[in-house]
Amino acid sequence: MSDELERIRGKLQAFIEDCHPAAEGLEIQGLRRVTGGLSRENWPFDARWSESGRPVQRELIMRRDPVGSVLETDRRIEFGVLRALGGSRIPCPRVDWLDADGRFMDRPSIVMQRFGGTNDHFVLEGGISQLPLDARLSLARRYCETLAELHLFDWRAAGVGDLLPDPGRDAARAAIDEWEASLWRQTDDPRPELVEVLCWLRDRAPESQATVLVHGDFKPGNSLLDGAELQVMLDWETVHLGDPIEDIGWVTNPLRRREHRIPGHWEPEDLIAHYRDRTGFEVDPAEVHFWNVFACLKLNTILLTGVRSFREGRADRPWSDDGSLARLMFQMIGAA
Amino acid sequence: MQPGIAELLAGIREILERVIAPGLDDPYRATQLRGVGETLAALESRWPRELPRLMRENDEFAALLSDARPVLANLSGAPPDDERAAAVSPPEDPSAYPDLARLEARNRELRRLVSETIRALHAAPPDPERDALRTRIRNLLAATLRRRAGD
Repeated sequence: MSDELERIRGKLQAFIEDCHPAAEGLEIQGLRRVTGGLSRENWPFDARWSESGRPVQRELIMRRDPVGSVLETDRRIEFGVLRALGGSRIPCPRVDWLDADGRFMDRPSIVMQRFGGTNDHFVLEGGISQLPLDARLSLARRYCETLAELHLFDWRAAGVGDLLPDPGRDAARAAIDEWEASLWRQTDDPRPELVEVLCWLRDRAPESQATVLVHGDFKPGNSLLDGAELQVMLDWETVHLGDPIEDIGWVTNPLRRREHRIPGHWEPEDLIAHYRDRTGFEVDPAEVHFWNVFACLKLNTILLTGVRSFREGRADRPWSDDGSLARLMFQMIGAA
Repeated sequence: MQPGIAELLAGIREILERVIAPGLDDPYRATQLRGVGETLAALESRWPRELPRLMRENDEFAALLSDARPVLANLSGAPPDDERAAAVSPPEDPSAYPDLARLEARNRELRRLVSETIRALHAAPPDPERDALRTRIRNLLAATLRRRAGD
């Protein structure tokens, strides 16, 4: 492992020196690989250098595409969007350097600001933080308001339109097309259950009321907390332009619902009401249901991306699909 | 023959958990090892049901495609009649002992034909016979998913 670590450290040093030639005497310390996140390798480190005679010290993290990922996404988009969001009120990491084609790091990588704090998937229902109810309610509203702020972000003015296609009112159909294509890239194993779900989705694709910046994987598990305060939203790999209700469908889908609710105090209807107040967007229950089903299809595709990585000997864990997601989708579309 | 497959799978998992895991200092590797153990546990419960599950599923898919022949006869995009006929016909030697690889290959072909059938039915205008077939396919798929989950 130490040889591997030294190899990565050398590559990282060359990468940063190339991106930031003003850094003199760059030293990388404390580099290590940490667990967490299925779609990217995470390598935190501290960097020190001298710039115009002044010492600089930064806490950074290098996020690199793994050999076998569960997501097919483009680091250039993630980097560009995070740059565009810099200076907004949306809590996101400052990105420093991009190795888009893996020229330095072997695989596409981003170096960005590192945050301390707690990653607590189930903070709202208690989790490891065990915050009091009023703090959890405040945090639940804060998550919702962050999502609302993201959806109200003026992406056109920030130049995001140069990075991402605007699907317009056909965002739902574009999303189905994109994820169906991704699904069949992962497997040539016939999946009639998923064909049935795709037909159901195509019959019900709603028209978007607006095009917004969609996070794509918004959840407490993709954030860091400082006590009861939200510090930063992470994992912007699936950010795209689309229908605002897509993110609402993601956070209220049955598989994610537990992460976003405080039983008896903050239910999906509370989240939706607060979101509606903050954004002014209409939230049609039929549209939310459509996006709930879509969220599960997307999760199934992500799972099959992992299965493909495993079958090709590129994964570090034995991914398999036991059909439980398809079964859930069948229940949701009234076919089971 | 001892150890049987169930014993072997359980034993491998137990050795990984008792012998290997405590010696791993690296959290990433420890996490991955836990995932391997969980998959072995799932395999322990899945493997005894796999052969009968595949045999039943293949029989049900074959019966469905056979019954669907009149509905699919002139339906654009439906799988060709000869492909369906070849897939639904019984195995060459029905008395032969079940062979997992052969059952899986047939299952894959039948599932491909069912997928094509769904797409063809979806693209066609509404019709009572076609709608009834679509409902039957949905019900059958729901039943196969329940069985995969062990219900």
